[in-house]
Amino acid sequence: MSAASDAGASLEARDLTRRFGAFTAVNHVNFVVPPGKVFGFLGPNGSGKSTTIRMLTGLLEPTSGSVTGFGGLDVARDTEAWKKRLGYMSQKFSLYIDLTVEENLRFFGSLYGLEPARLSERVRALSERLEFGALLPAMTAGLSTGQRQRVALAAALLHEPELLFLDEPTGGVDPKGRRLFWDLIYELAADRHMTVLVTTHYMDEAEQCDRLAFILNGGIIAEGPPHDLKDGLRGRILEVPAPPGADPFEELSRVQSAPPLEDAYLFGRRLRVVARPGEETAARRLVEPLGVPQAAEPSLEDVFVSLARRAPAETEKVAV
Amino acid sequence: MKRLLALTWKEFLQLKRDPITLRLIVFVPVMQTLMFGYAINYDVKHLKMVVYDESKSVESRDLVSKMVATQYFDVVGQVGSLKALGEEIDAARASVGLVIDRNFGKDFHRGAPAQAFLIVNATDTTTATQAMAIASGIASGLSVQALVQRAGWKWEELPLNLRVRPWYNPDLRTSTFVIPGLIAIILTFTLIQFTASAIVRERERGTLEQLQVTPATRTEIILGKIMPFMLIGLVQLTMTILLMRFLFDIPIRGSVLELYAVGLIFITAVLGLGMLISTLAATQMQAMQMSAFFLLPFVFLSGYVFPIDGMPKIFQYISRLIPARYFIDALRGIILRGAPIRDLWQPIAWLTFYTIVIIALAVARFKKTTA
Repeated sequence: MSAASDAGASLEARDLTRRFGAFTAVNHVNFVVPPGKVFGFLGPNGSGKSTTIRMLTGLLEPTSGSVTGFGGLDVARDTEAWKKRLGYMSQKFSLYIDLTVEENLRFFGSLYGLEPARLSERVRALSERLEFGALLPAMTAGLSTGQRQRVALAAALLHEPELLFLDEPTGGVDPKGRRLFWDLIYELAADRHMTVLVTTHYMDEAEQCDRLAFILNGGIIAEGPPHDLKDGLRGRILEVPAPPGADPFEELSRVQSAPPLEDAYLFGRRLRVVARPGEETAARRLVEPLGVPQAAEPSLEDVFVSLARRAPAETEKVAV
Repeated sequence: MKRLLALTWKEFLQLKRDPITLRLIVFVPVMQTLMFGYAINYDVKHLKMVVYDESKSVESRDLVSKMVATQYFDVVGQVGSLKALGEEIDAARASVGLVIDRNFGKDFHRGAPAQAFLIVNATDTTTATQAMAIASGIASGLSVQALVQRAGWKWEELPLNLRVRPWYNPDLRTSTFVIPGLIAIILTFTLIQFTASAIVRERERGTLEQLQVTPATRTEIILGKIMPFMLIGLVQLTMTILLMRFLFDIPIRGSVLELYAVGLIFITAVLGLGMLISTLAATQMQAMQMSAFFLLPFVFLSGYVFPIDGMPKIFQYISRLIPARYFIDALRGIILRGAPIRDLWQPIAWLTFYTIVIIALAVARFKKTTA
């Protein structure tokens, strides 16, 4: 990680480690988040994403390592100043369900020290922008998942944070809600240089991030812009539609353990294979009997599966 | 300060939405004051008495009227046989039976021992013991009077005229003894349960985490939880004091200001204890069970029901760890004896000491569990 002391970095984690008893949840993680960028954490459940975010927000003390940012602040030392600059939206909905939407927003706004006039203005602007103005007097308990997420986002944005943490923000949210949600976040990142750290399961959301870090077993196994992360797989992926009448599963099991292939799976009725490096021609020959193979653009899922397969044997990080 | 206000205001908003808790805040003190004040009654007054008077003499009637005059016995019936008297007591229509011998009047007159006996339902030992003591007292009084008259004593009073004066509670009313201590019990019951679940609930719902990423400090979060309940505690204190004063007619002999000052210290201690439970319990259910665990010693070892001096040594030591003990001491001092604060410095100092210890522990635990 040569960028380890980027002057313009919003946030920098150095050797961040957290152990719970004998279990190491986060293991010597290093990364730099440039200002105004959307930085994504991608990884399976229990890989250490949430633990990392909790340390970055100051909710959890690291066992070792440091988190610095905002031009020299340290999360452990300048906790209050740090917290004023960040917004946080947790995986679990965490507003008060026995308060109305407006009461919730006013309460959290006051905790950030917003003046009443400014607070009213922010509540109005955000509720309009996120299309929940009509819900302001409603009890929060009665909101749908999608509405709750938008209100929670508004609560996290009231004080115009420089850094926004989103921990799996759009689980269970309908596509329209997700679009409203992400449109605002990208706008704030572009216009106001708000930096965003997001953990997600959704590949399409990950695809939109400026930079991505793949996390597995508490460590970052690869990090970089999504496009660059795919470089290693580009040209090695082939797709063949299963011939009409053929059983796609039979075709899959026929090629699955063939030596030239690293991976093979079904994508609808299409067979998708990943060739081992240097075995592209052999792989093409293997699937040709089925139809004309076409080179396919690797998805982030392909990248992750491929990296995860190599990870146990080869623990060194792949820097891009 | 602004953040603290926001935290406090939020608690009130949430309370407004919780009609059950809101009702509990008002009804528990009223209910408990009435229940404990009226229902728990150790006074042996107006015991129902049946009389089997075989003598039917001036002297026998004098004995009965002397007993009735003490107000400890009410004649509920005259019976004509021992069997009938036994039936009245068996059926619990009376708890005391007085049998007066056929020759009672005659014997009394001629200076022979006049015979009467008293049957007492001793299921309730306190009542039985007191009834027997009072009856014996009346008998002794009458006997001595008879003897001194015979010896030519000419005064109305007896040769040894010992008068007993029960201070602070001249009518020997239980409510006078119970209600000041009850203030401590009511505050403990309601406040411990409200606060014990407070932090746990926020943790369970995930809102605690959201609070903690804001610039609000841990101290502010804890104080923001305690302050609304402090106000509620003061409201409850006022309600109990008013009921005590105007319904049970127990005047406050000491300073009302001092009463409130000590009350506030105790309220803080109880809220701190609730917070402490809140940081120890993993679920709201556990918090409830833990607070029940603390409530028992507060009731039974604080001197509220049983006098501490009468307890086995080990319980006397344990009672020193219970803040309610000191509060009850101070309450009885201020309300019943009108004791000035300098006479009560010891219980107040201990109460303050435990309050500080409890709050320090709660803050330390809170920091540890949320770090």
